[in-house]
Amino acid sequence: MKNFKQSFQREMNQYKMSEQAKERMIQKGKKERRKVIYKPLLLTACMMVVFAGILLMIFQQQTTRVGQAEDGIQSIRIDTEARYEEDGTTLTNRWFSSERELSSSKFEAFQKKLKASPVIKKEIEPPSLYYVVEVTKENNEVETFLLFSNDEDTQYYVKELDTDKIYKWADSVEETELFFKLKPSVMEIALIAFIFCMTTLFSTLFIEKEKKESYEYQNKVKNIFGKIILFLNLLLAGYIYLKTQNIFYCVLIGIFVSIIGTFNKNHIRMSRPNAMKLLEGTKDILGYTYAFTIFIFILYRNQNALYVGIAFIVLSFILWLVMKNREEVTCPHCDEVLDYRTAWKLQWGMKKYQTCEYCAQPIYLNKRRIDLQSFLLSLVLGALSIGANLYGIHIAYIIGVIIVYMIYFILFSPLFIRVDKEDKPLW
Amino acid sequence: MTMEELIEAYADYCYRVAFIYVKDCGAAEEIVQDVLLAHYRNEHAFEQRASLKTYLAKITVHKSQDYLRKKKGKWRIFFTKEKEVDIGDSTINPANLYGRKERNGEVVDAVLQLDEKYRAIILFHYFEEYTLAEISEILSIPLNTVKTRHQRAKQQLKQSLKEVYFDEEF
Repeated sequence: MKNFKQSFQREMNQYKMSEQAKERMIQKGKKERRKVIYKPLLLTACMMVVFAGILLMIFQQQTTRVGQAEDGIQSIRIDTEARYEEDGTTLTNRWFSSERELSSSKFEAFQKKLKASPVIKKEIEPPSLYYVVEVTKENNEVETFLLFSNDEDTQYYVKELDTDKIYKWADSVEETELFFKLKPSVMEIALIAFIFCMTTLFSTLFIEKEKKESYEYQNKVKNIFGKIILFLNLLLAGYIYLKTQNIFYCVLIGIFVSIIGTFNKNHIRMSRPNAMKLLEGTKDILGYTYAFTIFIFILYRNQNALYVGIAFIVLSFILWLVMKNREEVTCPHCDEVLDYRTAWKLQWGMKKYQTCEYCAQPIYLNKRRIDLQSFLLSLVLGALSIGANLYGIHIAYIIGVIIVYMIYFILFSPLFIRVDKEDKPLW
Repeated sequence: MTMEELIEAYADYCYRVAFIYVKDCGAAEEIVQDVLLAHYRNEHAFEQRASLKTYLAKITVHKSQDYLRKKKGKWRIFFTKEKEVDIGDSTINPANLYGRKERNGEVVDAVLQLDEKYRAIILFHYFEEYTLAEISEILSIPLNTVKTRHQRAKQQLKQSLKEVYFDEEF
């Protein structure tokens, strides 16, 4: 009789992993370690500054606090908070002034619309909520109007203070609000959403760099990085909150930012953020974007927004379709998986060939694949543009969609290339 | 911990766990590779609530179960069914030949004949000398289930291995 435990242990001790397998694992580990890199702080900071600048520019017209009117320059301003008083309270440079200067081109438009609007005879008292519109002409003459809607919010009226005339504003409620920038346009919100997406995407794309720090230090860096991104996103949201002063949009933007922030934070903490994985993750970002766009469409019932929403859906669908059947880009010589950077250089770089980092052999791009990608892209973009023209979509939306498509094409296409050993002719 | 240290300390241990589950040397090596590389990449995910050995055992168990689940995938029925590598089987496979070379495994052979859920318990209890409570934590199953399975595994082993005896419980 023999003891089971001892016999089992003796026999099991003979089961060992082969030395070759261990060696293979060590080699793979070295490659992995080389790729695990987080050193993006400076780059991220620069990008954040750039994006914040763009964001500021977008909101400039809507949110800039304006000082005293300059002599001889016609302007039109609206104040969404301060109430006009009998003693002639002027709009001053208060820190949180809600006074906005509208685009100067609106001066002419305002005059035209005012002429087109009929004067109503009956006396209407402005309700407690009204806006003050201040129009400065070239001779520095200032005309002040009160803009208000009726109780049912179906019509806007403009009261000229000097003459006490009340005009029934010619535009619809929605058009009037957009004209006076009482709420941001769909385009602006789409742009904000896009900027948030790009901020998150770009800042995480450039995380890979040569490893220099110890493993523990990298973890610290990456946690700090995640916090910085989240903090900056929240800062931007806070900025928008202070400036737009419309709680509804602020809540929407807040939700959006937290989704993106959480997504970003988790992605960064979850695992090694190599470029491929993050690019795959952008499908989610894209999903959020179009969900947001569709939400805006429902809110505004605007066909432009619908168009943008459809474009995003199509883009997501295409990405999903190609991602489903995606294979790793491998070196034809040694079968090692090429990293995203090499693939990107091969696709978009100026050099005709790249060198495989594992076997140092030259590798060339398979041109048939490029043709297919270009064909697919032009087909989709063509269909979207023609469709948009037929339904009278504004050219700015079409161009915007094309730009988004191009950016994603540039970012994603290196994932689907095939690589050849030699530079094959086009035929 | 460097990759070399990690492999030196835990590769064989994880390999045995994986092998007991999947009964295939090649697959076990792949699983170990996955486990150690995954841990190496995400070292920060290890919160040190248990020892590293237990933690790696748990990951290996999950990966092995994943492997077996994939192997049993429903679409497989349309293709040739992969033959499970049996110790007594004479499949010509370099990995198997390697594994078989030094083996004299009457006891291991009997353990491998057991059902998957019993094999792991026998391995952890008699080879790694974990208590049943620790095994219940590693396998994420209730302690009483572990006890029951342990008893059944013992009974089955006693039937197949006539000339062995078991120690007192520890």
